[in-house]
Amino acid sequence: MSPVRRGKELPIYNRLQVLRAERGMSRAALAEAVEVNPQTIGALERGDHYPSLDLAMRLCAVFGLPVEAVFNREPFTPLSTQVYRVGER
Amino acid sequence: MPGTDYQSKWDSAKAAHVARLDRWNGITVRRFPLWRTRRRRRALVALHLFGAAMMIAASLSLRPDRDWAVTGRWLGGAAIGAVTVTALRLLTGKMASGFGALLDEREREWRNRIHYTGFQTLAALMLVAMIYLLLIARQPGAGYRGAMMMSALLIFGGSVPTLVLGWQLPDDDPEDFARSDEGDPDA
Repeated sequence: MSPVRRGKELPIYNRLQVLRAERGMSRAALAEAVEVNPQTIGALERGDHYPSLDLAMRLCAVFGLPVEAVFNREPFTPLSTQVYRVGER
Repeated sequence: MPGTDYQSKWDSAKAAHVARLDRWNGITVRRFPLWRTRRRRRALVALHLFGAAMMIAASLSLRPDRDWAVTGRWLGGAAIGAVTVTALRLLTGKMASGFGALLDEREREWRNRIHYTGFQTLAALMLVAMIYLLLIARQPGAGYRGAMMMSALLIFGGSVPTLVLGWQLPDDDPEDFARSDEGDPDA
């Protein structure tokens, strides 16, 4: 349910649930921070809705992360695995 | 400047009204939690379709002498339609009927989609009403019968956005309604 979608449908994965849990934020708190309704955060987390660029950037601003750290075309590896691999290097 | 003064008064009155509506929506969104499932909403949609079928069937069987039993069936169907649409509007939130200012991008997208479907359906139903009127034009009581049929189809067509929303929306997720001060239950 992306606002504009033409051609082949490509998924957009996100890490919102993990980032929210890390910071102990409820969906309502995150929704308030980016000025949407809490159901929209739930829909984003479930992959039922793809955000507009504006909403994606507002979400990234809340977590202080670049867009590619929060949204990706490929499924994310678990954050702990990724951190452990970086630590190994 | 007086014009600017009126504009700012209008803007603040509008903002206050939207805030009031938003507060009201915040209250209604938590009402009837047991009914906020797709299954229950679909049952209401089915009941509404039954009511609409009652109205259309009554319109088809109306006689020129204003048969009150048939009119009663039409009104019964309308009552079922009114109750089910009101219930569905409460259960589906503000997407079907709320102001654009209250909706975020996902909700606007839903609203655009359901209203497009609603408009197309209503246009098709009005075409049906027009053909029906042409067919009965020379029969006695055509005006009354045509008006009842058109009203039945108009009421049904006007409800289509709410019906589509009620049918398609997934079950409500209780986590969506956890208050900010409750924190994340998974955290």
